[in-house]
Amino acid sequence: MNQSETVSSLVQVIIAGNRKAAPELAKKLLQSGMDAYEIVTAACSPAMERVGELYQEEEYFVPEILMSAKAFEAVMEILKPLLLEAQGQYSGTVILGVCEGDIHTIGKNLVATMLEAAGFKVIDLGKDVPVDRFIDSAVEYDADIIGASALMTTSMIAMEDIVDRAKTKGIRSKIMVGGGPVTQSYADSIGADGYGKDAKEAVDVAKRLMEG
Amino acid sequence: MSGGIPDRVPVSIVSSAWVFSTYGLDLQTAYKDAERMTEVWRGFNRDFGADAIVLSLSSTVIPSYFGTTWKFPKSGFPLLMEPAVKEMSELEELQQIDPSKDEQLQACYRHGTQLVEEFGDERCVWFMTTGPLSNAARITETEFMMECLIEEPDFVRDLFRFSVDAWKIAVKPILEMGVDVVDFSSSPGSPDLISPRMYREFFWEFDREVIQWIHEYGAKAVFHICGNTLRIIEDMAKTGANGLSIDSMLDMSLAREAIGKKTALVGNLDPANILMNGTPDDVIAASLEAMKIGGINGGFVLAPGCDVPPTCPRENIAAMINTATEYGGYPLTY
Repeated sequence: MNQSETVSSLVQVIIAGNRKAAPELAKKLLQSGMDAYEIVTAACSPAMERVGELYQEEEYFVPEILMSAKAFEAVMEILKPLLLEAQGQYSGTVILGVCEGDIHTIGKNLVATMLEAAGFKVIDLGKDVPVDRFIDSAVEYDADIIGASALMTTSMIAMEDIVDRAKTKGIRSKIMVGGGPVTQSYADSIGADGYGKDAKEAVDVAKRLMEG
Repeated sequence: MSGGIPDRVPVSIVSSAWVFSTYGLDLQTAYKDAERMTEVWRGFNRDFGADAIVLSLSSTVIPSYFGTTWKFPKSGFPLLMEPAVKEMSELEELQQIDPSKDEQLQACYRHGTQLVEEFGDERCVWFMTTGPLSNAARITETEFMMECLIEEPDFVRDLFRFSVDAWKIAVKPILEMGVDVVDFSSSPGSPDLISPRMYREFFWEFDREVIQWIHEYGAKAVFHICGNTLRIIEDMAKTGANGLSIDSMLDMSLAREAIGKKTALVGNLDPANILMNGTPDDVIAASLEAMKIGGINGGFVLAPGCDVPPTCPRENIAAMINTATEYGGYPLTY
């Protein structure tokens, strides 16, 4: 298998969610002299973008997209130490978390993976995150974007507080929201800068927010 | 739900969390106190007068028995912290449930017996709980279960088998006391999470088994899957369920078209946008519309589409119930 064939195989196994084969192929590419950043842009990003499309086309559902994310993460595990040298190439920094009172992390994790695949630096605060932690972390990391997720209506209401607190504190981060009960009109009503209805859209929104 | 057209559209709140919060019960301790729970439903029946008195078993009880831990926020639903089963091998080590050793199950049985004795003749006693396949995602954890659906299908079947068996053991005394309806959820089967193909392959048979088992005791079976279930609604109806409880994003006229007249629909007011954030007038308008679409010829119970947030205002619940009692008389004339 030559290098370009190995790249296409890597794309295929990430799409197929094969988390055993994916890191092996990445190692092979490194051995053949390809650099880590190029592996991300030539294989990981297009693979995860295709996964996002398959989800939107209703070919893929959560288990399939989750396994692709795992395969991608297994590749990143190998590439990350090598990518640290290339920090300047991040397209932006995103603070990500699930609102307080909510522990539904699947959607948030997929967004994190897709953002990483698209070249963003992701600071993942995890689940059940209080409003202040979003804000404090955004300040600490000088984040470009805060991404807040919720699956439950009872926790979704914290998004409004995040927007308000960010305004009062005068931080520069743009705010995007998403998750089960969240809609574009809800996002507009609380003054959020962006809304993504799924992980793929979230990446598109993040890219748009970076353009100003 | 028996087929045929009743005097009017029945209405049910299908939620205990809201009722308990509204009547001042703390959700963390409520489920241990049979007498207080019965007292609260007596109050709800007096103040709101819905057709169904809901006996419920909290979503935390069965998973907690096996070791899952939770955090209870001041308002809102319990949050899963650590699942009982984090690795596949841990499933085999679990001892099957023994209801005599569980305080909350015992309280639920006492509370249920009190409700059936007190309301059994005049009201529908509607037992509502998380179903065995929802519990499976709380004995393990949803994301882990999703991974296993692809990589470890045999484990998923073992997990479902174990969870269905546990559920039957826990629920049997409730069926024996003579509740009218058993309403359970099968939430991880939602097309918002998994493909219709996967639903048919892993979930459907267990859902059908549970429904047949409920029927053996003479109760009606209702089951609920969250989200837009249109793509699996025919499969859901083929389980033999008497009623399908449906979420607000499902187009009820399309659902009715897909399943025919035999199966009742239960729903589908939007718990967040209408019941929690809407005005009583919004609730009345949504209720009238739901009855017209879902219940023109019977086979319909007006209810929230999914669990009602504890912060939902009581005027809105009253508006839902009053709309059914005032305008729901058959034939619908408004």
